Amino acid sequence: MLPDTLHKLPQAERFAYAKLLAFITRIDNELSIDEMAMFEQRLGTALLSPGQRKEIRAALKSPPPLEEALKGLGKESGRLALRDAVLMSAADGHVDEDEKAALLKIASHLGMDSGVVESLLQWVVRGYSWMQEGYDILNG
Amino acid sequence: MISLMGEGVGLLPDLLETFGVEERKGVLALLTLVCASDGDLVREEMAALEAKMGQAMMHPENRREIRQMLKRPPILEEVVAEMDEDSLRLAIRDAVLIAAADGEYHEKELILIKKIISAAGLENHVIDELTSWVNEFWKIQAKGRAIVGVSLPGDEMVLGSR
Repeated sequence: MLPDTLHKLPQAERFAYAKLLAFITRIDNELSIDEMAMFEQRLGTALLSPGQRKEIRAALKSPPPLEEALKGLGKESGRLALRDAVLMSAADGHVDEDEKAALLKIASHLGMDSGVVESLLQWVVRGYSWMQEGYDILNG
Repeated sequence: MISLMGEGVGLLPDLLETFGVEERKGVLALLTLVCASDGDLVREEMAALEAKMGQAMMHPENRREIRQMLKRPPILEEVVAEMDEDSLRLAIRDAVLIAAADGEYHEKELILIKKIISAAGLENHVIDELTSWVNEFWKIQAKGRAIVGVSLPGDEMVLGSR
């Protein structure tokens, strides 16, 4: 929710970013309300136009192949998409084999080491604890 | 399957998603008040508000209504009167986050947040705890960017601070 570099990227790249997240979201052929909420949160952060959001939501119903989803991503948007793809894959507390394979493919496409995916998974775990700390403060 | 935190433990759902529509609208209305309170609506705040509306899965019509509130802010007391304790507490958390979005807390934002804290029956020190908690989030975000080799000005300093 705090400022990121995503909203500063060209609109076409933000659109490509969202398309990749649509691919990741549907990789296990399931879409829970919770996952949808997180996906919508990322769409909001990307400040896409209403028309683009409609198109991206359609991509959720029939997700693009990974190769197509990777098209249009620049260096920075690709890296942010990888980060957020890991976040989305891990949001339900686990990452299945298909998700992990796709994340590794994305990293490889971006010319990044597979260790980046492991580091991002650890980073997500830290995020879990941080969220819980927020609830703890409110619960006194 | 790789389990990260043990079976059934994850980021989802955020408490916001479990609220009814009216409660979610209440939270978002309070966030518009925070965004509008310092007189400037920067792109970072807009992105944060849009993210929250997305997470709250608001209907497009409701989103339009919420965006309108940025131009015609609702009355704090009226919004608060319609909210229950849980939604007020969550609004405090997200109000502190959204107030931080432009990089600093403005006096008017803090006054407003203190009013919401009071309405929720919490002590004022909660704001200090939440600002520390937000500082930790800056670090987590900077760390996430650093892992993928992207950086924002100031990330190095944030990561170096304790």
